[in-house]
Amino acid sequence: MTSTTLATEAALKIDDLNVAFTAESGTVPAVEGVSLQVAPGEVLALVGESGSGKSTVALTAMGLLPSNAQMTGNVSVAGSTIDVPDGRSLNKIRGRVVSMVFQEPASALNPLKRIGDQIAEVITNHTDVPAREAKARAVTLLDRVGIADPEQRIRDYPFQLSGGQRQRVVIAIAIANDPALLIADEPTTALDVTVQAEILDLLRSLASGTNTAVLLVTHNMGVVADFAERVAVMLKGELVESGQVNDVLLHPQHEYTRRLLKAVPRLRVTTDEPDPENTNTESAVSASEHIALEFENVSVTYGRGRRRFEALKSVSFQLPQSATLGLVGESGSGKSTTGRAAIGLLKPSAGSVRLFNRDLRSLPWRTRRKFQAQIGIVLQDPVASLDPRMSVMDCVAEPLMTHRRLSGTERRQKVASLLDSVHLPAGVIRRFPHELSGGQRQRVSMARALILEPRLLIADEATSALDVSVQASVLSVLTELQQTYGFACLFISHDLAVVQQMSQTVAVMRRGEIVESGPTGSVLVNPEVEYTRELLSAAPVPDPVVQKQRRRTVEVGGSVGQ
Amino acid sequence: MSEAQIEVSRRGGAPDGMAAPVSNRMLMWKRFMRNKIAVVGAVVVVLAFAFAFLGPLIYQTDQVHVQLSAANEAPSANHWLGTDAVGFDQLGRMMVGGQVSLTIGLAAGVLATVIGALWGSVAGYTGGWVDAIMMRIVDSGIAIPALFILLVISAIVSPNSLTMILVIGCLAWLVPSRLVRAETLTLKSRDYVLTLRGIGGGHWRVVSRHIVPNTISTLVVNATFQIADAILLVAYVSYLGMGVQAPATDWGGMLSAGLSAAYSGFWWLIIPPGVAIILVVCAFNAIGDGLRDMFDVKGR
Repeated sequence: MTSTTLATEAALKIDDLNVAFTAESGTVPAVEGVSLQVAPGEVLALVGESGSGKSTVALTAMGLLPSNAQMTGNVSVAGSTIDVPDGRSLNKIRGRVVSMVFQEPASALNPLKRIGDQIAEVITNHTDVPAREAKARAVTLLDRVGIADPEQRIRDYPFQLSGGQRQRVVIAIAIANDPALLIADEPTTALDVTVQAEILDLLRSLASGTNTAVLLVTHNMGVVADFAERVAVMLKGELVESGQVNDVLLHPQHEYTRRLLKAVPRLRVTTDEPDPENTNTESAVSASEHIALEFENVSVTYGRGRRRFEALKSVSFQLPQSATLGLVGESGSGKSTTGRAAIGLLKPSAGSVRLFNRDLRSLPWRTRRKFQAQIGIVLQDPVASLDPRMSVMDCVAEPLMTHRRLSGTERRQKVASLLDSVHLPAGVIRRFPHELSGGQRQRVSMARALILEPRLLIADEATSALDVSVQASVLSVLTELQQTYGFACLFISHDLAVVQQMSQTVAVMRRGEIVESGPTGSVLVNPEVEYTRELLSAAPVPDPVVQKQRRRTVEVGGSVGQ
Repeated sequence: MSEAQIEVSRRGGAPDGMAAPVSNRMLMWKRFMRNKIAVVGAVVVVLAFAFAFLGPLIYQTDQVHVQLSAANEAPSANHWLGTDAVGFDQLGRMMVGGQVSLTIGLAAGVLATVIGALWGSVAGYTGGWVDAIMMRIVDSGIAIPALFILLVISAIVSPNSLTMILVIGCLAWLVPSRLVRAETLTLKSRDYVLTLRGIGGGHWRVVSRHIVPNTISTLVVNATFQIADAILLVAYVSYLGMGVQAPATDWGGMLSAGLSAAYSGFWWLIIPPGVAIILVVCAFNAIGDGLRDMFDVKGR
């Protein structure tokens, strides 16, 4: 084995790395003067927001930069220099000395090949072993990454596995040749929190067990606190701070790190902490008697016959005027279906959806439109939410046009005032969506949702695609506007910390049902249902000390039953 | 708010020091101009139209009276491209024939694109069994060769420019309808469409403001290919003698008439219309390629 010689040198050494991309509009620097080292067996987290260059650093270490990139500086992995952008010699290193776990397990696996063959392929690529032995090793690897029944599962195709299982297979492929360095680029971002916790556990045990160095690229400070030993913070292509996790996360030195950590929404895990963010609590709920949105035993089914699927099963809740109801749950739990049923885009198969005390779907067309004018909608994807061929003015004014309100000049003034209230500069009115950043686009969506002064706002993962600092500003704008306009808000999110910050009441969904609901302060702090407890304990908090403690209680609690 | 300041610009977006809105149009123009073949194609098409429609003003010829005494003359100072079998000036004939070929091609290509866009967007937007029936009609239409139907129709009604436009237009819309339907299917589930539907926007608004404008790029690119195809189709039909009837003519018909004189060595009757057809068809295809580059906004 070569691992004894590798142990003496750094698994990854990057010296004064500069990377620039040539684009249509000129040369864009992506990484400027970055130097870092990862020792064998160490986990270094590279954090930063989108566009900070963290993924570019990871790709450079794999020698995977696209052809329009120019690179200077020194990158070496376990003693071998990576400098040839397209060199064939790199193929000897990739998969054997350094390997990568990508963000999206669905696209990292070949859908047409059995997973066993995909694992065996990496082994036979680098070592001269007979196919049967490679297959036997694939079984051992599947066992190591915690897939039950590996002899059977080896014959499965990727589509037969869940997202978490697929990511385990991707990890099995990555560790097949005992690499010196494992690069994990947002390995859990596409996964649900409970699955994320399992994958992080797996990576942690693999790293400590085999002396493999891990370069973890992530934007999630909770994951960093949970998993990494050292952390390096990137801002606009430069490394601004690095050090031990406890030092950086608890006593950040650089101003940017401080701002970044302050922007991360924190889950309150105990009742005795005061709640600084949530100002309009119980009083607002009791004061309003009007119900903006009411679900009464609503069921929604997709398909028919044998393919019939119940997306919602007898869901009931009430959302009072000017209050916020948080809807949380993992993917496929029916959160978005609830949102769509609320605005009448989906027809319930049983039960009734009452909007401002009327059943929307039973109203005649004209009255129904009047009620729909009182709804505002903000959806997740900042790119798909705005028509690329419409200017910001047209996008925001569209609800006014739809309901034929105001004249041309009045409309313009209204749009300008709304853009101002979501803190966008007046100049954006003539811009097109592609000229704006993700956070700006999401604020344009919010301005559009609020231009009719709705009484109900549906926010479906409205900030999930945004960076934390942008998310913080968008959320504060939302809170501010709710205080001004007094609309009710159905806030759908998978992020428990954000929901805790935004809503007075919360409903936890699982497989189309509400498993627990009540005031946020009690449900998300002292949950009564096991599933809510699981969700809460799976979400990592960005405090390494607290997180280590929580992890311990989960492990102990799991065996004792707590 | 300090958080807003650290909002990092995404690649491609430009939050501060934003370029003027025109810049996008400029970029598209630059992308088209970078495709040299497309630029050449555009020049060829402009010249072809100028030749056919403005040419007769400068180079005046008699295209009405048969002059058998001057038949099949070789190119000379009087007749730059010689004369044909009934004594018409060949260069002037190219202009007249070009008017017919280009008009039919352009009109039929546009008509086909319009019908296809309507059919495809209605099918894709409505969905369900309406979509199934409409698209099966398209499938069966594509299964029958267009040339065959065209010949049958030409045999039944007497072909002139207008009927040719209608017939070709009504045959060639099948491909664009498929393209537009596919595009509509993805567009109608976009978040901005859902948002508009949710606040009470009607179907008409969704289709006219969001779906049609977003399919324009596909349509324009396809229309140029449709025009090229239509010009070829007219040439085929006329070559087989089923095109517009004398004294009117088009490039395909001229080619057909000239071919009978091929063994007599009257090259001026064959090569000019043949080259004209090839040049114009290739030019339209090149423009289509250039437009496709121009609208290609993967980077966005």
